[in-house]
Amino acid sequence: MTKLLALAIACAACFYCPAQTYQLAPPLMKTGAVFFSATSQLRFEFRQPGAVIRYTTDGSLPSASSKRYSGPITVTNNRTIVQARSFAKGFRPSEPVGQQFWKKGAGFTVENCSKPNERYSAKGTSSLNDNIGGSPALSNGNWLGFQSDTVIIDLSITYGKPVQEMMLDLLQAEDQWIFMPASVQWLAWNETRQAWDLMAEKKFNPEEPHAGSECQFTLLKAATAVQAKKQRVVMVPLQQLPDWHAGKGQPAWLFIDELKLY
Amino acid sequence: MNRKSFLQQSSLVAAACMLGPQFEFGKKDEIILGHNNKKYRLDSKWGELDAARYPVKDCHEMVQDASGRILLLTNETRNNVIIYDKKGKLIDTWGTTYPGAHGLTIFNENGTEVLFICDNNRHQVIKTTLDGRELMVLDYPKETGMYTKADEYIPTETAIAANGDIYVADGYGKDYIIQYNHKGEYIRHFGGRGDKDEHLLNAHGVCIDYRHKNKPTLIVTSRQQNAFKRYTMDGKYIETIALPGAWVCRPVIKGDYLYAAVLQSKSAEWKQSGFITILDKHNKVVSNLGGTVPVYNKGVPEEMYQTVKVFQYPHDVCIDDEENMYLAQWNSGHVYPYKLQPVS
Repeated sequence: MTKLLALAIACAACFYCPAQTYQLAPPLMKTGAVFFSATSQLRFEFRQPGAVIRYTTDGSLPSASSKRYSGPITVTNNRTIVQARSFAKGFRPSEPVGQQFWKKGAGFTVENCSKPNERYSAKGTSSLNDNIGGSPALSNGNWLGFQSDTVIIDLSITYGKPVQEMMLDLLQAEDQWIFMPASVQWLAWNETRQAWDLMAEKKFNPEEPHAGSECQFTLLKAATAVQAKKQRVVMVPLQQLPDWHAGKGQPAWLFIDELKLY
Repeated sequence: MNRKSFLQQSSLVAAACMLGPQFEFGKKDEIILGHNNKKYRLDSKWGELDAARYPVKDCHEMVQDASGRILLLTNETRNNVIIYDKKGKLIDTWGTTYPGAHGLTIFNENGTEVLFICDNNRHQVIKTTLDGRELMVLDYPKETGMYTKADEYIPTETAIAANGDIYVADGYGKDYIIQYNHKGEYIRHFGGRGDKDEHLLNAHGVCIDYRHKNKPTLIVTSRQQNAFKRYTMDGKYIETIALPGAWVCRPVIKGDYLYAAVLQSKSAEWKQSGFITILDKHNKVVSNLGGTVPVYNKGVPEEMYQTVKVFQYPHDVCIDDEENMYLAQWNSGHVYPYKLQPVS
């Protein structure tokens, strides 16, 4: 029996020592709603016998000692990041694949919005808080696409409690001429001063090349929470595509599909 | 058989089962790719040449001629056609005028083999001898009434019927299949874009399927739809062969099997996520080289994707007279073709 065991081990070992070490491809990921109310779900699969999927839910890179995936993962917490990688003996682990999930935030309506391009007008500006989207497929009917000097979105807050954070889901797909904006400002109307207060601002370096097509969940955080009824977002799209780009000198597109207040 | 040896044997079987269907490696620890009766051993060095003398850009397509030579088409205008023997030894090169060399088809025309080259940049199909003498040039098909200028037409592939009819797939243009007679005279066109079953999206390849005796049909790639579509020889739609997840390139039929390079996985677009798929004579996937185990659910394959990063962007396969496979890759760091030998 010992002999047999030794044979089995030897056999397994010869299975596992290829002359060249290849990397595995990442698991296939299927996500439920990225913007969710109570819970969401995602599942992974990797149809390759001999390989396992390991995952984390805390944003860390999955390692060989991370939890082994065995079935759909339920997401309940806001901002949860689930990441998974494929592992197999004799192979380098895959690149990670993952998703961040965003819970429904404070209620608001879109009072006014710069006019999106006709081809990318989603289901109107109410699409900005319809809890649908979070996928980088630019023709999925959820994205509002702009090609203008500035994009202004005015919000009317229907939720009573103060908010301190704003999340914007922006698309970065530079091959498709869609770039991050030069800047995003979050403003709140100050009734006393009868003027806009700057809550938070974020500047980007949109000219830097970025491969692929990705949702960039962009978070703005104010120093203190605010209860203003009127709030505003001002985004400045990149005005000239950089020199390395096929469309250099022409204006970039700005794409947004969801806005959340927390 | 005594009890001891019986026990030993059944334990061995049990041990083998416990190991399960795992990754496989060959005698030299090389990776074995594929599933079922279509498994291969990879030789990634097969086509390597001195890049200073015989450079390649994208390796687009490969064919074998009657004398056994393997012909590679690349868009490198220092040598658009590179000819190897089956061992990977360089025999000859030619071609400097095909900047958009993309499709390569070989046809035996009354005993003489000829080539058809689709050039994306020239917006033309060029018929040549095996040593590169031009015999015919087909310009953009204004006879169809669908094109106003050559730029709109970006042919990717041809297939030649037994009677010499030429089928051109405008896979990067308007996705029509244009049929000509052997003289290059327009007969008809079909396919094109739209939302019906007979429409195509990225009609990247076309071939003639002779697997059903006396009833040849056309198989056309609809790459962005992750499917092949079958038509009669006069362009009537018959059926769709869905290949979820797989950006299939041209169908290549040898014997009972249909082989195709898969440029990339839908689940990981533009991330070097390609593999190779093999369908049996019922057009059922039996093997994916570097990809998922084929599994069917209600007659349709479960989504397929790359599992091991062995290939980057496979663009075409060629099966030789000894059932060896050769692989040409697009945009994969100027890599020369690979050879894959069947494992019995």
